[in-house]
Amino acid sequence: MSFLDRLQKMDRRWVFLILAIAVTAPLLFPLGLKISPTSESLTFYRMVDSLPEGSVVMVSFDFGPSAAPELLPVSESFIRHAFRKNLKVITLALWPDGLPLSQDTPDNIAKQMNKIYGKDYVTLGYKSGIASVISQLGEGFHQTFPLDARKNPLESLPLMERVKNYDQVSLTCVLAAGTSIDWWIGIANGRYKENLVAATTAVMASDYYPYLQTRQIQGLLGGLKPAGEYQRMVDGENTPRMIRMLDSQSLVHLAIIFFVLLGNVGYLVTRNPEARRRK
Amino acid sequence: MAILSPLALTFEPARVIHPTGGLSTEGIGIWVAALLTLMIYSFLYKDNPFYKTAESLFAGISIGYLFGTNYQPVFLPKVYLPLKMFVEKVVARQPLTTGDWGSLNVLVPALIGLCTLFPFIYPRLGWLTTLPFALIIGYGAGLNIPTNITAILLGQMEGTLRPFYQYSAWNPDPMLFLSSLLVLVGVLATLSYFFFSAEHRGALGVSSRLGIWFVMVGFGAAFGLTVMARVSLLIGRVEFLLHDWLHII
Repeated sequence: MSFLDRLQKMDRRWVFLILAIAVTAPLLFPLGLKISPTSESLTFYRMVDSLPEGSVVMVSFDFGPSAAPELLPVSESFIRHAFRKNLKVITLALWPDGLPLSQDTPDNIAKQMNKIYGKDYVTLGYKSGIASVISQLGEGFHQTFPLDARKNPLESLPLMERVKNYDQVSLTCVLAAGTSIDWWIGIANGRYKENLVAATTAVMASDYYPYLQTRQIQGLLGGLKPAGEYQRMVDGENTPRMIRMLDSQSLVHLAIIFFVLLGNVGYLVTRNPEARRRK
Repeated sequence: MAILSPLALTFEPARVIHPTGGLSTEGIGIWVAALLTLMIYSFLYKDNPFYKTAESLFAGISIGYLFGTNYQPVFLPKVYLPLKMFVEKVVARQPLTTGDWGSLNVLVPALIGLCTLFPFIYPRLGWLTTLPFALIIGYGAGLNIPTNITAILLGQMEGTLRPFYQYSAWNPDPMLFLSSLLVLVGVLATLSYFFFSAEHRGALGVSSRLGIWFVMVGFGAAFGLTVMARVSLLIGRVEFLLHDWLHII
């Protein structure tokens, strides 16, 4: 049996082991590869950065912990970016397991940046029925969420006194691990002309680039790499965790490309042994 | 603090006992999450009882969590509390206002929703389950059709053609023109591939063959992004183990 034949029959657990090493090694010993922002990340950043002080932005947590590595960094950077620009932030969750993330993320950042709940940011909470909620928000925030996530009546919060519907929200950031983004595009942007930026998991990103081209969404971050670029623009050099993760991703991608090439070369060489023998 | 001397790395696992005494809920949470992560990844070696246990726990907890998050903010304030207040007023023989009678409106959607349970609790009335499903399908279609036509069909058609009239309106960006042309050719060629009312020969054959190339490029991009997403999740878990659990990094 030749080397290539043996390679074709190799136990796939060896591949898992090599990938595990490729993931772990850069996390332990960072390579410090350069992170250069792409035009999509720059557009996303500029959309937030160009808003005048005091504008209201909304963040919808339509994902759960399973998509957190890709989307949580964006949510943290977006809220930090908004607070630094003195924007007012409203968070909500259209996925049930997004609820704790929509509460903890702004709370933790607000503590670091001395922002006050009710005045600088509000967490609306979770409500089921994605399309209905997005549609109802256009009619009125107070009817859709009579109470916030902390059980305060919405009219008792200073920030919500001036926010009635999408008209008072300058930009909505949709953090989506599912198809909720279709409803945001169809209803919030299509019907109510709300400006949208979105961060999606990489799996979904290719489906939403057409909406970026048509400006139905104004910015798109698809996956960990663009999330890292945006975080780098917001937080500068102070992103060691993200740098390590992107180093790790680059090395794993190299390993996968190597395996794809090796597998295809092996297949092409060994696919017709009878013909080779006859030659 | 333990030291992995050959690699010059130190690690100190998350504490389950708080430094001031007492159990640390955060530390316990990290340990549970770390052990469940390892139990799930043990499947990569081979199927085993640890994996099965973690998988069953995940399924059970997900359903329980979903029920809890819908019960608290939806069922309690929308259904249970208004009806409870109405019944309490009736029992106490207090005068009923128009608002009190209005709270009975919730009985209509609640009873329609309950119809979904008939096949399990009283099969002879199982046919009633068609009522809520008919409403859901009708509501879904009513919401979907206009939204999809305006946002997806018309929006995307406009987006495909808009750069050309922008270009013609004295906006001579050659790259915009080229990329827009590529998008337009891709859309038309792909649509022609899915046109089955005529045999794919001649001009239609050429166009459909071009279309299949665009489709393949699309699949390749989607597959590449899928690999990238799955790798990101793996990196996220390994980073959690090394950073939050073991404090190596």
